[in-house]
Amino acid sequence: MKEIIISMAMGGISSSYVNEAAAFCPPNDARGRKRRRKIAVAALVAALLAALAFTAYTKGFFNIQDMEVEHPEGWGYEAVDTSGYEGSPLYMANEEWDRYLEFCPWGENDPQPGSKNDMYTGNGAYSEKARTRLDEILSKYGLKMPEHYEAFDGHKELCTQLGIGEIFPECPEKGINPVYAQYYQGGSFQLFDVAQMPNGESFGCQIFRYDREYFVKRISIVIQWDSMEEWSYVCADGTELLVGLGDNKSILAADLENSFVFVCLQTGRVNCDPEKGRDGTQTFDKAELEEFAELVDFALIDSISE
Amino acid sequence: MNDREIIELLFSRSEEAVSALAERHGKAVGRVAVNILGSLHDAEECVNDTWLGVWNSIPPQRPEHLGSYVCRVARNLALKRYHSGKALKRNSQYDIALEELGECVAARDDVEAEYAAHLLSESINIFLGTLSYEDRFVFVRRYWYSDSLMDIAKMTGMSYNSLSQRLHRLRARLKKHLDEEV
Repeated sequence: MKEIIISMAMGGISSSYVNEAAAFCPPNDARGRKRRRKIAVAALVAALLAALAFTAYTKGFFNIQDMEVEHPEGWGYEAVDTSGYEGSPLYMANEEWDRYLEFCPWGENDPQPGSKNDMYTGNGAYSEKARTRLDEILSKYGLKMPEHYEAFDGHKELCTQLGIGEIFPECPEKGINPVYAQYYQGGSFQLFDVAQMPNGESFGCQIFRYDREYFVKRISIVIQWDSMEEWSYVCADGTELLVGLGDNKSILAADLENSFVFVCLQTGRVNCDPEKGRDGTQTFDKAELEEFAELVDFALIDSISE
Repeated sequence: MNDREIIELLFSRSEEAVSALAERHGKAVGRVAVNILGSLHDAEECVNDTWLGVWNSIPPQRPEHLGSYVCRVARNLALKRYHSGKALKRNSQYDIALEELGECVAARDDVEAEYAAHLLSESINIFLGTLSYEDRFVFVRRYWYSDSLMDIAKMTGMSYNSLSQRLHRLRARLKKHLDEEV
């Protein structure tokens, strides 16, 4: 019995210690301790700034850096949050929920026998206590939990309804989802597919719509935002976009009335050679990125409600 | 490929994720499995189960630290296999590490195992927070990853004897810490 208890207890030690022990840092301990203290202070400062950001958030012009995902221990690479700019309710709710999941006491969020499989468990809330905590966060930021989500079925019809049927011509009529797509009650969705330009060039493309009224767990994307060329672009229909052209990824972000829409293209300015790239795609320049932006009906996507 | 990109592949249900996982974390996962199970054959099956477990749990989960997450999945699967009697017992690093820690922990028949483990876990986390980085590293490598003393000595550059003494002192400190907490 004692062995089992010890075994279970060791299984419950903090992930941060397990992760820390994954690789040994050379015994330059003074520097190491200073660095950890610095990280701890940085995390506190980040938390404080994040809290201030929420109180100051109003829709306006932001840049890609405002979507950067912070992590106290650092990931070693750059990532952006596709759910919105820092300070927006959904961004803040996701930050708070992620911190809870990371630091909640061991056992507090374990699945319970007979527990329901619903949107809460889909967001990582397995216990009653965690569900209550998530409800508190949603209430704090004025968000609702979608009642359900589903994988896209009848893909082509839906793409057409979303005004993006032209970009995804290979969508099957029904059933088989070529890559991945989820649609949430309330109008949020995530769609990963292969997009095609009118001239036949194709590339991987991810489109996210986060409804302002609903909570959906964000997806972060690895992007070297600091090497991106970014500018604002106004579509023919008047939609204002933040556009970023990187080496092998490009983005479009629209902070709209009802939603935040984020598009990530798996291609960029030096992704490949002029004729044919390593992924079989061609490079993008600013004009082509703006041309692609015109193919997406952001106003239609924003108008989705259910 | 980095962890974030692997998670993206898992979310996009790309089977490439499994080979990327194996390439990036296969060595660590294999080590955890073989340390606990003491058999290469069992460990190999456990590693394959681990990739399946990770594939089935991401999504919906999105771990912050993929490395420790997959090692945790591997550890849980290896322990399940170990306790089910399939593994070669009394011969693995896990058994030896468990015996060492057993000296520090008093028998608790008065509470249920799960609750006792929970309390003990919390105490160990507090204890770990009081340790220096090197002490914590050797403790976690020995008692979570179940690495052999020889392997930890190689990782840290310590001699076998000094590592052994350091772990002995750490266990004594843990015992004192746990006694004070009771």
